Amino acid sequence: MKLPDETVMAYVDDELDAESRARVEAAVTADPEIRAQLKTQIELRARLRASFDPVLSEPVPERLLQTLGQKSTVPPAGITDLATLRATKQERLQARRRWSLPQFAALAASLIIGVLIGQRTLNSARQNVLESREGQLVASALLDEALTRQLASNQPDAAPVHIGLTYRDGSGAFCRTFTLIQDSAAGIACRSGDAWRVEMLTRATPADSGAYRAAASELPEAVRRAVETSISGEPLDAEAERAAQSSRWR
Amino acid sequence: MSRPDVPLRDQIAALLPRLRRFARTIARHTADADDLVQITLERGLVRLDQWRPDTRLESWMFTIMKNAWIDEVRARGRRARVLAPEAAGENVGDRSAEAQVTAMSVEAAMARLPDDQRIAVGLVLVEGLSYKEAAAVAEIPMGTLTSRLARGREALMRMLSNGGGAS
Repeated sequence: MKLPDETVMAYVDDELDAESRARVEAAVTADPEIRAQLKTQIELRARLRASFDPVLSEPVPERLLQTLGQKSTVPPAGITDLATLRATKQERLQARRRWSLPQFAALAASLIIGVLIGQRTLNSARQNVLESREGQLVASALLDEALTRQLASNQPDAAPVHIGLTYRDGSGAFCRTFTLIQDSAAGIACRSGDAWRVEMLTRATPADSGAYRAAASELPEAVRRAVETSISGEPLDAEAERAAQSSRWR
Repeated sequence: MSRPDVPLRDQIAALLPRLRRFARTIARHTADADDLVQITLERGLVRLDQWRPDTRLESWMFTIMKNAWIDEVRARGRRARVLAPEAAGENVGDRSAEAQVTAMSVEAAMARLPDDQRIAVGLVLVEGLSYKEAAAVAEIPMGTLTSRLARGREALMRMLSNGGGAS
């Protein structure tokens, strides 16, 4: 079975009403063909972003700044811009729905969530914590760094990323839950080669974002559920976590 | 979204990375993209008093850029008729031979889309605008936007899947 392409596109663009969205989600869960259809659309979007997003981090040519009468000391990496974008983000958070993650957690293609939410929130704040590599969403910059180096048993209070549980999934790969404090987002990443493949990403309760401890210790329900469905054995204790880290998560 | 505490020029300066990205998606050649941003800034600055705080500043600038691009395309069309025809392969992208054997690069595929589809794809899929916002920027009805978007996506997928196996 297939859904009309327009419906799948509108779903990926977050333009469906609650009822139609629920229908698509149910169909995706039930039918691999529809899942493939959705995946194609998501990948197209991700590839476009991957091709054009690098422009965002290039230095802006001097002549453009001069046109605006700006000295070359434009707010580095856009400080005013971040504030603007955050305001925009808040607006959107309020205007747009919250993703119904429990259904999603059941999906094999949980990549979906990461791509969609990533585009709408994280990338817009230019955190650059995610990138698309060969059609896969992987952690980059400070998220990659934290997943690779940070130990749950020993992390700085001011760290922008908080690591929660570390465990092995069914395939034996190491997975770690993380919270992006500033973005009020939490998710799961699993080791894949030399990268951390982002398996899911969801919003943490924004109210938690100020209260660092609370945000850190309480994983969103959707993340907990996804851990429960993918974990094989028990989460690693501090010693096992350290050992895994020193063997480079292999 | 008005931020009265930040001067408008500074707000536009802060938008430069996004303006450059949108320019990259709609101008077919990278080299043209920053010229397009430049023209957009110049036009925007002259009309700053026409911006209304109930319009997002980036949407407003995107519209100016879209119009600047359309003007440029028309002007090129005139030049091309008057002067010698430009190289026939102009719009084919830079990596033609290799790209056609394997999958085409995303940029090359975008460059092959008609302008109206490229603008729709750029606004929604790259800039992340809602259909409503994108239709307003493109100054077209929403139905027109969604059909251009759908056609653009289908064309991109056809081009990008060449050599990639599945269609």
